[in-house]
Amino acid sequence: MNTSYLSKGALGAGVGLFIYAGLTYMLTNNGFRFDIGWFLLSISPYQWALIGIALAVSLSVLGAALGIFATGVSILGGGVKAPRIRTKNLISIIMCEAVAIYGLIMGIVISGSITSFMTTKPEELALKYRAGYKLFGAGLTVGLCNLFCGVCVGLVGSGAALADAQNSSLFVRILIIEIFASAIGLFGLIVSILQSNGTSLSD
Amino acid sequence: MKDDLFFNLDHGYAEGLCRGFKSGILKPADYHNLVQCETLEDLRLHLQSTDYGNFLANDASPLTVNVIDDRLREKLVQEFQHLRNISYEPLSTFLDYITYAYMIDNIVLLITGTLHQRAVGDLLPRCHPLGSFEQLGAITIADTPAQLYNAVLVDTPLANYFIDCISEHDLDELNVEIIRSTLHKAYLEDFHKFCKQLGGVTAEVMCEILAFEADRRAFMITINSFDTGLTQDERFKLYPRCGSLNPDGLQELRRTDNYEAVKDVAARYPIYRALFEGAGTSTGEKTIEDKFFEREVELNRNAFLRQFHFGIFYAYLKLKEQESRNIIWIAECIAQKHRARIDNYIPIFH
Repeated sequence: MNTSYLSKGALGAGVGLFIYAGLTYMLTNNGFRFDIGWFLLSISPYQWALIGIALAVSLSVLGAALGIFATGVSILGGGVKAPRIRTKNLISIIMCEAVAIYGLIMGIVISGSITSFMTTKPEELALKYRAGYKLFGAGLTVGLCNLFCGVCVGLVGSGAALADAQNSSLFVRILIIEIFASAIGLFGLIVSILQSNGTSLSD
Repeated sequence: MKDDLFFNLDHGYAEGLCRGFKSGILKPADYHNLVQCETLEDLRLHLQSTDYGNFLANDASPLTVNVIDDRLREKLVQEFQHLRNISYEPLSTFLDYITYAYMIDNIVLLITGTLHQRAVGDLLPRCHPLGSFEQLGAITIADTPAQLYNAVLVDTPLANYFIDCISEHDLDELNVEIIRSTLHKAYLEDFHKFCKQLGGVTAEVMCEILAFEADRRAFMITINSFDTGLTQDERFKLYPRCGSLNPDGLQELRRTDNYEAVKDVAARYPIYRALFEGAGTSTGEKTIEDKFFEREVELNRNAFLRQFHFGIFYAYLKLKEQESRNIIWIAECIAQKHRARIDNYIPIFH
């Protein structure tokens, strides 16, 4: 209950501060200073691209981790009374791990496109910003897709382990569900490659 | 979503283990074998090939049904204690709540035993191990409920349930049963509130099971109190309020005074109507208690159909107890060579 008051208080204080700042700008005829375009332009394309890499790897690893602990613990629990499931169910763990590998691949691919540029001409700078945004988009795509894919494969794998412990004919059928689940991570990888294809920050 | 994503973090191993224990519950084929045993030695032999293994190996023949009962209970308690030991919060609190019911039974057992002048040393081994707590042995010193509360129970988790029963009357036979019912009512309502507060799938599964328990207690208290001196108002105070009979059904039940009237009250609730219609009071038919047991087994079996909730731990304990009752029933029929009704156990899995 205390944390909920704290978070409500923090949220209220934040909103209040924002409204106060906004009104100050508006009423002192300084509204033009609230400039989103200027803000976006002042963030370097390197920043966008590198955050893209960070998101690609970290969100994929998060998804894989959530999946692996969900499945692994169920295999451990179910394996106590039904030891035969232990080896077969490691396939689920491998499929979760594949999700992390997709993130790793995209991280390497995106970071290969990051080289320094020296130009100051606006028309060429625009292309550099575009490259930065594309690499950010690619990283975000693969990261979020792999996050949900990893969670999905993990939860299905947990169900597969427990069902296998009860009735061994169920494992192969639930594995088919897992294969569909891991396909969605692959979609993220494909779209991400398309987004980052050919872009480069070099001159 | 928080249920699904993070349940396995703390409770995944316990769930896997519990489901493993559940797969050891006897199947119809095992019961078929058991029913065909001629002696208790045959029974022991057949139980060896099930999940029970050699649990009777250290007992000399001739086996008695009491020994089998003790060993079954030991095994159950061992498994439950193991689950309790490896659990994290809030599963630990949930499992503790399950043990409070046994604590209540132990307290009533000790008080009744003391009233009949039995020694504490005789009574303590007969208590259920799941319901043991430190101050258990000290219960026998109290004469009135108020003393019992102040001296012994105020430090136990059952302290809150005692508020309604504290009185200065001496503890005697009828009072002890009323105390048991009052404690159990408070316990059921508290457990129901706890499960509701846990939320998610646990609340859905457990609240249904506990609502059925509450209704079952209301019906059984009513039916069993017809020939005793319990007034309608006293009876009404013993009904747990967390079931689906609350409030209209309970008011109607309060005014009944025979089995047919109870059946009429039940007729307004589809599930209970079906249960009462299948039961009868003559010897060949199933009694309403058997039908209630069957319904309980059905609800507990359905708890295993969902994943990531605590209901399976409760359901597993209840199913295992039902299995113990079944095995003891079959053993008694074999031991007394009265095999006519040996098939009247309640099947758990189909």
